[in-house]
Amino acid sequence: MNCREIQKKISAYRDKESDAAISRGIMSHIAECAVCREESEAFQQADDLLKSLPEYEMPPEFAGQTILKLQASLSGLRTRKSNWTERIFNPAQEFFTAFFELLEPSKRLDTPLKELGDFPPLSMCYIYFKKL
Amino acid sequence: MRNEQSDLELIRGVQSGDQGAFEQIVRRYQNRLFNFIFRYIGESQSAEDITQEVFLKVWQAAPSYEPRAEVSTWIFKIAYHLSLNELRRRKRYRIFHDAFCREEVHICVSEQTISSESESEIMQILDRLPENQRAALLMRVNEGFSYREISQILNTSVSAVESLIFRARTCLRQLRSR
Repeated sequence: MNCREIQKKISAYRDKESDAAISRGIMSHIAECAVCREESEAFQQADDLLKSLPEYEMPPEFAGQTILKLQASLSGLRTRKSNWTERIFNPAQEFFTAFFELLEPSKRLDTPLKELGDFPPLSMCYIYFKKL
Repeated sequence: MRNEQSDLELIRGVQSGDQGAFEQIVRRYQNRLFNFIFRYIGESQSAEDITQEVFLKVWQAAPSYEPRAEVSTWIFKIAYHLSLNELRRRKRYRIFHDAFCREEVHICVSEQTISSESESEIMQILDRLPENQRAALLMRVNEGFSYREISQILNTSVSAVESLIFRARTCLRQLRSR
């Protein structure tokens, strides 16, 4: 292997990811070639730079907060699972109430929207405009 | 004793809904994950949020975990994907702002966490590496993953990982010498 090929493989060699034959070839080449040895040392310096970064520790309350968040999401999931019909009706009811309030602010909508639940939204609007 | 339980035993516990096992996983991985995510995305508050999100995903995904890969590899894969999503979200945000606002958006290394000048410099150099090279190099040098494990995390081949790490080191040297 020439220097160019060796230099491409030095990175994996340093990480002990080269196979045995290539490793032996690189090792003997580096022992003789100053340029490739310098290349290998430069890679070491690049690694040292990253290793010099400080190791931060999470605050002691982090684990507790994560458990609480998990429990909150689990209880939310249970509630949502238990009344999935409300998940559909409630936003729909809120939307149409707000929509009708916008059209006619003085009057309140007396008809419970759940009674019209079988109708698709466009039909409900049509009925409302007919009534108007 | 619970302290001596392996990662796999803890994940089995999580699979059966044991919150104690989950807490052990959190305590075992919280610092490693935070440091990796922080170095990868370069911002401490988002890194903390993503670290928490990783654990919640671990809980959700635990039932589908199969011990084909190490638990640490699996957890880091989740962390990598969530961090990558955050980087993509920021990129979209930056494009949006560039299109609609004249002001520049600076999303960079947080000053709160950076305690020394040299650390700030290293983080800025890291920030200029392509994201996949940065991820591969951090996983190798700081987390000690093998090329095979990194290939599983990044969902690529071992030879691609070798190339990524070689290019990352070369790039790091060049950026440092500027």
